[in-house]
Amino acid sequence: MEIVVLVKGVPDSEARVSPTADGTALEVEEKYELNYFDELAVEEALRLREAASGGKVLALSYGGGASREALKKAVSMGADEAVHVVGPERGVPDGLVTATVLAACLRSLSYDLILCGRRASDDDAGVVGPMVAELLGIPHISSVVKVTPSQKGRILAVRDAGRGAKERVSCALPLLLTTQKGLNEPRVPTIQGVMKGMKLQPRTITLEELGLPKEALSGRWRIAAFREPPRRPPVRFIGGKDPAAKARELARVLREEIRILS
Amino acid sequence: MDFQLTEQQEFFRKIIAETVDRIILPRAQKIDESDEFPWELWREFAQLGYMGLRYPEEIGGMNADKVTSMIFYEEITRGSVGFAQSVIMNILMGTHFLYRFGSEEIKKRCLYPAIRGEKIATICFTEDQSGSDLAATRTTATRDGEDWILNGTKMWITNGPICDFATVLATTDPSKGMKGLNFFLVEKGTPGFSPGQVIHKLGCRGTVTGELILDHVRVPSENLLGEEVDKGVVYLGEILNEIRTMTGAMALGIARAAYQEGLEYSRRRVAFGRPIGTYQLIRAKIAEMATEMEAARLLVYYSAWRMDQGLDCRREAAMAKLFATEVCLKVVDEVTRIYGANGFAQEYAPQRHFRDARFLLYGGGTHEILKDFIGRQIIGRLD
Repeated sequence: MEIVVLVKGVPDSEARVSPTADGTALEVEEKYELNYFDELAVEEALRLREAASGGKVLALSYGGGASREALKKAVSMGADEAVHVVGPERGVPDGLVTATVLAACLRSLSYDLILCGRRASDDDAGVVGPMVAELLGIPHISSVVKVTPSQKGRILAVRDAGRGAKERVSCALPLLLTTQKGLNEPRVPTIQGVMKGMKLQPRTITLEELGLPKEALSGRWRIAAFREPPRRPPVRFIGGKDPAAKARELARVLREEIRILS
Repeated sequence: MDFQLTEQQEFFRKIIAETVDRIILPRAQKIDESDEFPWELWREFAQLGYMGLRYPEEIGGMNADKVTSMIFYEEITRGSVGFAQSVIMNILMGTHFLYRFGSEEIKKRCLYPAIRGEKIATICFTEDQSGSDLAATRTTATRDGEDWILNGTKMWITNGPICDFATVLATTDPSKGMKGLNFFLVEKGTPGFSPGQVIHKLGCRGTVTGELILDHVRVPSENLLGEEVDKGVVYLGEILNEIRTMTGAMALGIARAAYQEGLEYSRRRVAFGRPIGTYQLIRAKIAEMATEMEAARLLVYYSAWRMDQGLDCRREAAMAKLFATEVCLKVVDEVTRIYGANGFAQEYAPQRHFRDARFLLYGGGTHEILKDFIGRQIIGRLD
């Protein structure tokens, strides 16, 4: 089975991220990592390859330096190949633009299955995977927590339908799956994998080479402003010696001030 | 001047840091509390292949440069010193002389399995009356036909009680001092070679440290790890700078682990209605720790860089070990103060870092010896 994993480099969980003074952009410390949900996708692709005792896993990313980091990690985990569609270093790309670019690249690649994370931990939009499937005209199953190759040419997936519900879906290949937490435990790279990642020179493709019309690359969304999230209020202690009185006061605060009890 | 890690080194740092965070750090407290060798973690970690870090790819290694090696030592120590000591012993001191001088048979029997983590290695320098003063080594090696007979007792041997093989420092003649020293391979199961008492330590718990007894241990001539007899001190010089710089990197690892705890606590802990990190005296502690750790980092990686460039780094390696250790000792102390009484509680990590840091004072040379060495290097011979 030939598997393509769409991967995204996102700011490291410890990277400093803050809005610029005018609020029109984000200043992000140059520390990137592979998006966690994409890491699940890479792991699942490797497991499918190992279970089939063959096949190929190709990691594909669109972006700047962060994409290179994501591809290196995917290769260090065990991906066979990496393709980097070179995009802008900064900015928050429109999900549709990203999906258009990835779909254009995928048309030149051979695949049976496409895997990607359910969402990215930076913009949290969760739109690229389904959009890619739509643009390619293939089905997709979102938020999968279990993947089993069933009869030839089909995949049996269990998806997280929310609120604890699970759906079992069988679908013919080619197919796109988005991965949800709980699907697997991503492996720790071996030193051999790390060395491959360190030496990686991914195949690069430019936007010009994809031959997309200019309008396809102009996003349809506009960032209005970035703002710091509100600061968490300080810890508040409810004093007193009488436990019953303290409980009453707590209930009152939850009901009247925080308003999470009715 | 270029102070940046290469893109490759930066990627390596990131991956090994993630690996430490995932599989070592969550077990650190338990390793310390139980003071038992973490076999399960050892096997899991060994499968990742890092034990071959500094050896060629052809034999299962990574051929890492010294800067990359220091990144590894710093990160793994940040995770758990008790575990790091055992791993680093297999990677560096416990296997170096087998790689340099061992026959192919010895390598197949000991080195390659150690690189795979299937065998545990150690090196034996210290005795009850000699540590930094190697010239006072009393373990003897005596020729008997084609064989050597070893006699003596080694102390403070990291991995000693559980090792599969040991590189043993012994003298052909105690009166020769440094000029009579040699390294010998002694394998577990060799008659007369046995573990003695286990030393229960203040810190670095989880590493099994103890005594090794050599009572008329007969080894064949190929077990002499060296091209010539009585050149042990010359061969030791090959890795002494690496050992000292590595100890400096370990100091950075402990310091970073403690500092991170202190930093987070200063943001979290509220006193007099405000997080303690808003008070100037706490900020001063954070500022001083961060500044001194940065200075130590520059010294450690400068020493490693000089090694990679093939430059003399005897002085820099000694300075790196000395300075990084002193900074580490200060950091672990300050963090226990930031923690207040909680810094004294076993429930929290600062007391572990405080205890662990003490080993740095002795590993890689005492600071009295190092200062004397650095001073002599600078002043030169006057007699």
